Amino acid sequence: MAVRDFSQLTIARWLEGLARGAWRASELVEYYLKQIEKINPGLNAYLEVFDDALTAAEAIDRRLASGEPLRALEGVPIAVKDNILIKGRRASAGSKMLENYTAAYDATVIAKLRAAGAVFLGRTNMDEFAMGASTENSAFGPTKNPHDPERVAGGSSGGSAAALAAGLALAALGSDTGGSVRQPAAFCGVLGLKPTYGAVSRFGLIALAPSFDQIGPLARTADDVERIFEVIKGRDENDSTSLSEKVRPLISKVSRSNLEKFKKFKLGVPRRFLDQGLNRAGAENFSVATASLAAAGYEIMDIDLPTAPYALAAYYVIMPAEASSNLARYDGIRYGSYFPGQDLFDDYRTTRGNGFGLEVRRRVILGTYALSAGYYDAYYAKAFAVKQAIASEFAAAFNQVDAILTPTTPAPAFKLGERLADPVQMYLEDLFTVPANLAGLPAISIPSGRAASGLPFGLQIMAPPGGEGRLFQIAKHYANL
Amino acid sequence: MMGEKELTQLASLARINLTTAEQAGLLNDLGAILDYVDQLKQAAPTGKGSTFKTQSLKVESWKTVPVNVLREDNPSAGGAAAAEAEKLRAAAPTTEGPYFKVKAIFGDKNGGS
Repeated sequence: MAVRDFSQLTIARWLEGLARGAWRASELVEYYLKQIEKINPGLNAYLEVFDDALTAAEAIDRRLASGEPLRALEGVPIAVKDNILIKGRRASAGSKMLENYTAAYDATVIAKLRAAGAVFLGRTNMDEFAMGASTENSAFGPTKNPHDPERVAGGSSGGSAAALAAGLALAALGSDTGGSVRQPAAFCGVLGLKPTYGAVSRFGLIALAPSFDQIGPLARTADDVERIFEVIKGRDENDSTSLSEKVRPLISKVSRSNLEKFKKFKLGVPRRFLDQGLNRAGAENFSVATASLAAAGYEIMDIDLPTAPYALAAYYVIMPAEASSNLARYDGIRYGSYFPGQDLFDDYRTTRGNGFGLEVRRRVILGTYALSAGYYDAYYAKAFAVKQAIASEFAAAFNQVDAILTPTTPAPAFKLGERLADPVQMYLEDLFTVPANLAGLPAISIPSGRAASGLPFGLQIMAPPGGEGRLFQIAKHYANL
Repeated sequence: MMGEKELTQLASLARINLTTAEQAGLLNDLGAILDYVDQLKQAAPTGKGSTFKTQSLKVESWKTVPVNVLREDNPSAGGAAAAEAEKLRAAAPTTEGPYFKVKAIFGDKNGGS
C-alpha cells in the first residue's frame, strides 16, 4: 500500500476522512512516527516519543469500528510540551532537576484532550522551566528551526513549534508566560495562541510564573487552533484562577452579531511602542500586513499604550519574583533530582546548584533580589503598578478598537548561539508579546509573510479578555487574503 | 549595583551553590539585567495602577473577574488520600517508611530555626 502524504492535513479534513472511513487513526500515527524517526534527529524537537501512541490509535480504530460516534479530536496526534503532566510519563521541563520525574497524574488539559479522542505522540523540547526564547536553555540540547537548522526555533515552546513546522504532529501544546507560545510559532511559521488568563486550567502545568502562565495550542491553521482551544478551555476546580464562561467578560461595544462582519472591525496599532523595537525588515513586513488588512476593509488606526514600553522591565521583575518562590519546591527532598551535600543546608544548595541550569539560577537569584527587604518597593511594587497601568491602557484602547496588531517579534529567527552571551538581548525577544501576559489578554501569532532569507514573520493580534473568537475570525480571514 | 558579597548572600538565601567562575559571570549578567529593569524608575503609571488588587481584577469598565478564590479543603473519603500520598511519596529521592528522609535538622550550623 502506498504511504499517504498527510503533510497538508487539517483537523477538519482528518475528521471528515475518518467519518467516511477513508483512513484509520493508526495510519496517521504511523505516518508521524515515521516522519519523526526521519526528521527529529536533525531538529531535536521531541525529547521522547511515546511507545503507546500507536496502541492508543489502534484503540480508537476499534472504538470507531464498533460504531462509537466521532469525538471532537478523534485520533488527532498531538505533541505535548515537556512541562505538561501526562500520567505515567516523564515531564522534565527541560531540566536536569526533573530528568527522571514521572507524572503521578494528568494535567487537566491532558485529561480533556484524552476524553476528546486525541493521541499524544510525545513530549517536546523547551527552555528549562520555560525560561528562554530559543530552546537553547534546555538541558537536553537546543531545538533547530526547520526553516534553517542554523537558527533557533524560538522558545520556550520551541520543540512544539518546530515539530509542527516540520510536519511531525497535527497540533501541539505549549505554555506562554511572556511569549513562549507565540514567539516560537512566529519563528517556525505556524500559529500559536496565548489564551485569556484563566481561560485554560493550569493544573498539571509545571509553573514558571503562575500569574502569567497559560497553556496554549499551536497548529498550522486558525481552525485547528480553535478546535484545540474549545476542548481545553473552561473552569477547573483544581485551578482557582481558572474562569468559567459566565464570568469571562467579553468587553466591547461590538455586539455578537456584527462580530461576524469582519469589515466593521477596527484594528489598533500602538505605533509609538513599535517604533522602539522594530528593525527595518520587521517594520516593512508589518506595514505590508496592515496594508493588506486595510485593503480587505478593516479600519486600521493608531492607538497609544504609553506604559507598554515598560512592560518588559516590569515582567523581568514580577516573573523572576514568582519563579524564585515557585522553584523553592525543588529541594531534593520530595521529588526530582538529589545531589547530596555535607549537611541538610548543603543538600539544598548542592541539589539546586547542580540541578538548575544557568538561566534558571540567574532568574531565581534575580527574583530573590527583587523581593528582598529594601528593594521590594523599588522593584516589585513599581513593576506591579506598571502592570496595572498597562491593563488599564489596554482597556481604554479596546473602547476604541476591536483588536490590536503588532509584529510578534522584532525580527525573524536568530542564529543558534547568537544571544546566549547577552541575556538582555534574549529577553528583548519578548518585547511585543509580554504586554498581553501582563494584562491577561488573549493573543495569537499567525504566519505573515517571509523575510528575504525565507524565514517566516509572525503577526500578533490581541483582543480583550474572552475575545479568542475574535482572534480566530481575523486569523482565518487573514490566511485567505 | 550588586556586589560580590550581596550575590553570595542572595545565592545563600536562594539555596544555590555557585562556583567562583559562575559568580563573576552572574554579577555581570545581573548588572546588565538590573540596568535594563531600572528604566522602571522613569515609568509614571497613571490611573488605577498603583494599588494592589489581589481579590479581583477590576479594570475600568471590565467586569470584575474573581481570582484567588480557593476551593474547599475537604478531606477525601476512604483511603483515597493515603493512596494519593503514597503515589506522591514514591517520587521522593529518599524515604523511610511513610516519611521523606532528610539529613539531621538540628546541629546544622547554617540551617535550623
